[in-house]
Amino acid sequence: MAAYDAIAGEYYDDFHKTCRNFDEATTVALQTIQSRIPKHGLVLDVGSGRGRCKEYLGIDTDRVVQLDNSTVMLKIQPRESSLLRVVHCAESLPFLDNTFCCVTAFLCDTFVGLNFLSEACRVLEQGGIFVGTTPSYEWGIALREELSIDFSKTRFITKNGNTITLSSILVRESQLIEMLTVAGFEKNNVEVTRDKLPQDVATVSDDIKLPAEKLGCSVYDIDIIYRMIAKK
Amino acid sequence: MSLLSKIPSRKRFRIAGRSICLVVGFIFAYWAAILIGKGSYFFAFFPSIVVFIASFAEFILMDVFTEKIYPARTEKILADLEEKIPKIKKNLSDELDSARNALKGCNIDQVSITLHLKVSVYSTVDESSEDAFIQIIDYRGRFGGKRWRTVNATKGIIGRCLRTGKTEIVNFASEEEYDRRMVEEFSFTREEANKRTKRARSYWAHPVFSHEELVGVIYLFSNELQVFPKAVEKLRLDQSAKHIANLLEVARVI
Repeated sequence: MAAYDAIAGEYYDDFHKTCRNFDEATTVALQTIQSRIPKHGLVLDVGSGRGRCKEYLGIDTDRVVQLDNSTVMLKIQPRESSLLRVVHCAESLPFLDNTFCCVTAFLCDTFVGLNFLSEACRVLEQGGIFVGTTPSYEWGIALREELSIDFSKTRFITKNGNTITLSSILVRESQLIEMLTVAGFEKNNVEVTRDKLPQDVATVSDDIKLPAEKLGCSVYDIDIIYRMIAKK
Repeated sequence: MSLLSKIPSRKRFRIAGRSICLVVGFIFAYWAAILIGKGSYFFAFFPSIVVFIASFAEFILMDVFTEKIYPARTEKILADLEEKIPKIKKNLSDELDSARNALKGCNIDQVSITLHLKVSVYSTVDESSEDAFIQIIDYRGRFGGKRWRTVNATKGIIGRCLRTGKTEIVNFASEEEYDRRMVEEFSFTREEANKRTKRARSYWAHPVFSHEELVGVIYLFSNELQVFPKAVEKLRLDQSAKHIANLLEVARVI
């Protein structure tokens, strides 16, 4: 059973405000890079869930291969269509070298690590682009300290009131840059930027209010996600 | 208590056994003497039997048990290491620190490193020997246990490294995966697995050779995911392994 099987049924519901806030931040963070995605070639969406390449990057879905280690996540409806759906872990991708023009990984905190990033680099064509997002270290540590939970875990409270704890890796911005370089991306072609909640978002999760208060800033001033762009 | 802890285990066991035999022997000998003094020769026979048993235990049985539990040859090996390792401890520690600090793309604070030495432990049943590993240096880094712990050579990634003679790497994505694979794949019992730290997620075991014989394993683990193998520059670690082998040879540990 994959980790996200337990939450898959309601993960995309409005009930989970933190996830929706991350969606809103991601939408704004990725708007400016749509033009940098190659117009032709296959795209691999890792940890795809219901699929969001069209939503975030305007990529035609018939170019997209969706990969997730959760069968339940890959079957969620409604979803973005795709060329193919693959059940597999991210740390060792089942594709040949130089297969994709773009690899995406939205909120990849469950599997971000040297192995995954190296694999992303491996399967990219020369000139291909990696686009990823992950929760920011500052936001995550502040929240987990307040909630007294393990720094390597996140928690979901379901509609039934159950608490589900899942692995979630927080990595500092400087370490992410180093990891992408060690993974095989040219240092000059690696960007990691911080992104916040858009000012026009009205419904803000307590999981953003709490760390913002701890850090002494407004919910619109706290960096909640890192955006990673790396070119091979 | 601190004085007792400095005495090797084998001697401590022997002293404990001797003490028990002496105390028991004394008490029952005194009782027998009182009974004899009162002329109760028949009843004095019974505490005298206990004195005999205590004497038999002290002069014969305790030696047999001690040899069985702490074979002299194995104890000698440990005593030998305790004498020689302190002479090169700083050099070994510096080499391990240098290897750890050379890792890339990871949080070094989450990585710990140590050295395990291969030794032979001897059976008292049939004189055969089998390999085991002794951790001869305290872990460098925030995590990990103290030195002089032994690891069965058939278990874990260290045991796998011994069998294959190659670098061995393992990654766990979660605590659940760790729990399952430690038992199913790495030959630990459930109890043994529960005693070990469960926070680590990425492991590397690097063989140390001396004249083509595997003599030890440099062992690293990290609490971060997927650190190994990509964080390691293998040639750099091969160099560390060579330096460590030289140090062990110079100190006549191997």
